[in-house]
Amino acid sequence: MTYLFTKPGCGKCDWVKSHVELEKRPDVQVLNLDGENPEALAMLAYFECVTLAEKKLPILVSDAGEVLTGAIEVRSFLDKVGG
Amino acid sequence: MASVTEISKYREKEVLASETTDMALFVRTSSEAMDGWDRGRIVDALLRETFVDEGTAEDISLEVENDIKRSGIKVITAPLVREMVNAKLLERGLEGDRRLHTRLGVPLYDVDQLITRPNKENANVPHGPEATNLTLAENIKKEYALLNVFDQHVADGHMRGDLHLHDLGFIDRPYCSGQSLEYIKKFGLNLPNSLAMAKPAKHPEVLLAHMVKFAAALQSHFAGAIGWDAVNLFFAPYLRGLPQREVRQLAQMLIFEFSQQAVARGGQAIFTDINLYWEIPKHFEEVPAIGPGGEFTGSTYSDYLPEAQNFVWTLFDIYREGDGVGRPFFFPKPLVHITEKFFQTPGHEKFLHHICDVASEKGNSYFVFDRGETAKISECCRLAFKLDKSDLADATRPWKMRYSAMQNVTVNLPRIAYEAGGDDTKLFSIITDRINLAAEAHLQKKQFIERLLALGESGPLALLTMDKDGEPYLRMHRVTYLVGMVGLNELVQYHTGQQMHESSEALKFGLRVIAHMNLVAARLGKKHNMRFVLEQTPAESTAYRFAKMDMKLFPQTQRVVKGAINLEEIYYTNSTLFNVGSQVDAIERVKKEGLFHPLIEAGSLTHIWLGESRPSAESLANFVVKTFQLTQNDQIAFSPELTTCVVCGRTARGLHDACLFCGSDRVEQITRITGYFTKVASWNKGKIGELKDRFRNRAIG
Ligand SMILES: [Zn+2]
Repeated sequence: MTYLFTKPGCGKCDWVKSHVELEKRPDVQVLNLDGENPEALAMLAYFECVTLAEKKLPILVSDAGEVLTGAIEVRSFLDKVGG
Repeated sequence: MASVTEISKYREKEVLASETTDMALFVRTSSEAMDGWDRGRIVDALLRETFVDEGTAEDISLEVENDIKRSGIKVITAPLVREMVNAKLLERGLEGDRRLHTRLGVPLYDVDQLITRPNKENANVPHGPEATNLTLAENIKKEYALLNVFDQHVADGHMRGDLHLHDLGFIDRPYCSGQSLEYIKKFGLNLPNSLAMAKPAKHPEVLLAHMVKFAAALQSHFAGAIGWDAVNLFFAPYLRGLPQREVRQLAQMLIFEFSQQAVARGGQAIFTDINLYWEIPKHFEEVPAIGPGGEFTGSTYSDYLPEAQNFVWTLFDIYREGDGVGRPFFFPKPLVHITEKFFQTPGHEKFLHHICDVASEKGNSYFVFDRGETAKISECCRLAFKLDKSDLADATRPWKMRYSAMQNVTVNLPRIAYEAGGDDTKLFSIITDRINLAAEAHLQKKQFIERLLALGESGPLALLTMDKDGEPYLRMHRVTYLVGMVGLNELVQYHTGQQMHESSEALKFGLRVIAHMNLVAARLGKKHNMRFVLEQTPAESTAYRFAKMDMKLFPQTQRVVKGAINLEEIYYTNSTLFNVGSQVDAIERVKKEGLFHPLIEAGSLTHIWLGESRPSAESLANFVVKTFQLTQNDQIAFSPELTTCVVCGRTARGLHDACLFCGSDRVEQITRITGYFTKVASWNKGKIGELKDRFRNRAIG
């Protein structure tokens, strides 16, 4: 499973969401860090990305545990894996 | 003024002689004189302390007087009369008034036990007349807190063991404090109510004397730890040009002064932490340095790197030697900050080697990891004040940098799992309720302290209201309110069937609980405009208290409680730690326990129990570097075990029942309890149980 961490009000997160058809991607779980979602925060901690998320979002954690940030990198990774 | 509660004696002879109402009771007044029996005093007390009307008060006093006459009681004591009055209030259904009329005190049996037996609630409290004074005072203040500071809802939560309100015996003080030497360097030592005012120190040893006295003054105004920021750096301007012999002398004085302060409050050493840096912390680089006489030296702190480094190195020389018989110093605890800049500062390899050598030999060194832009002041067992933007702006005026936690409230997590009975929704909903209760407790404590602070210079917290730099010493806007936890491992074990070290699913569930707590605390913080932050409760006695209470109330406890049930040496695992007995590789423990640390703003720590092994300084140094680079862990400490012989004075590694050198059984076993070193003989039963279970990591590296 690939995890995509996003946050409300994050422009780059919205950009990725608008350029990748995430609803058609059962291999990607989108976790929204909206301050009400302990599951998302717990997974963020599990992947050691809590501090990173304070500076950079979106964050993608691949099946292999690779951590990617940056809207373009995240999108191209998703395109590559999904295609 | 005479008090009806102070009726002390009933003279048998005169009682026998009295046939009328002129009872020959004697009342001991607060001025220690003896007054005769006066029923009116019952009336006065009821009218003064409760809301009953005069008629009721009169009726009650008459009934009590008649009861005393009829009973033929030979000796009447103050508590007895009050109890009789209270019984009358209860008979009338006046429960609220009964509460107001309560007498706080300690049963005779308990006082006898206290005076003749050691207190094991806190291993930092020795046994002696000062210590028993402290305990007696604490007992009364505890009752006062539960009746008069916290409402019944909160107090019942504590009494039931749903949560633990820490340091109730110190209800009239904030919890702990971290500060900067710059305050006394700039303003001297000028404490409210003190007889003499000292100008800013001109010599390093005078600065040290001011530091020690100020620490003692702070200890009498805070319940717990007193931490000092960047001690080696702030001493540095006083050390320029000083011969090494004198620097060494000063380092020795600093450590001995704080380790021998067992003459202070309640015979308790001041729980002191000194934060130390090898580099000049980024936020102090350009800050104008304050030197002798409280004057700016004209240089910035960057210019004092050589003096600061030499001082911290020398401090660790002293730690390495240990006390007069080679034991580790219990206080002050040296916390070395490991930062990105640390690794860019020349000489860091040698220094790291030096402090790791001390860590292996004596265990003193704490390694605090400030990754990226993080900066913090650490203290207590693991408490840290993470500095935000406005704090870093304060760094230009470092005397402003003082931080306090108001109170610590710990949630009993395993109990929540029993109550939820395996239902996720119920579990998280109860956790939310408990944090709400903790927040209520914090609000009530805050209101109480604010009442005391409002009394200003004539109040009990005058020291905390002094405003030499234009704001009170206790900066309420920067106070944090701690929400701690005990027994996450047992909650997870009961709820999921596995302990956190046993599967990644169990570990993830543990993270979900703490993430939930983190978010609820943040939400409440916004609502009340207070900084509620999670802390790993050191839980020296709480882990035992909760386990004992749950064993009585919840039979399920037996399935997850740790320790030896038959010996009553039971405990819950501290905070978010893994089972102490689990055979987890040291680096894996540091990494996995570290996953929780970014969610726990007020500080976390992983222990590596060394047992009797003595790893090389190189292997510990490698371990520290790996921890910094490859994990999210906030702080680690290596804990060796030592046995000191009272007879021959020698110290051996490991915990032994007899001296390895002379065979004497008069030995003192020493190791780290929760976050500090102490003698094992003073530990409570729960911690003894934990010590037996601890898995010692003999291979490090
Ligand atoms: Zn010996």
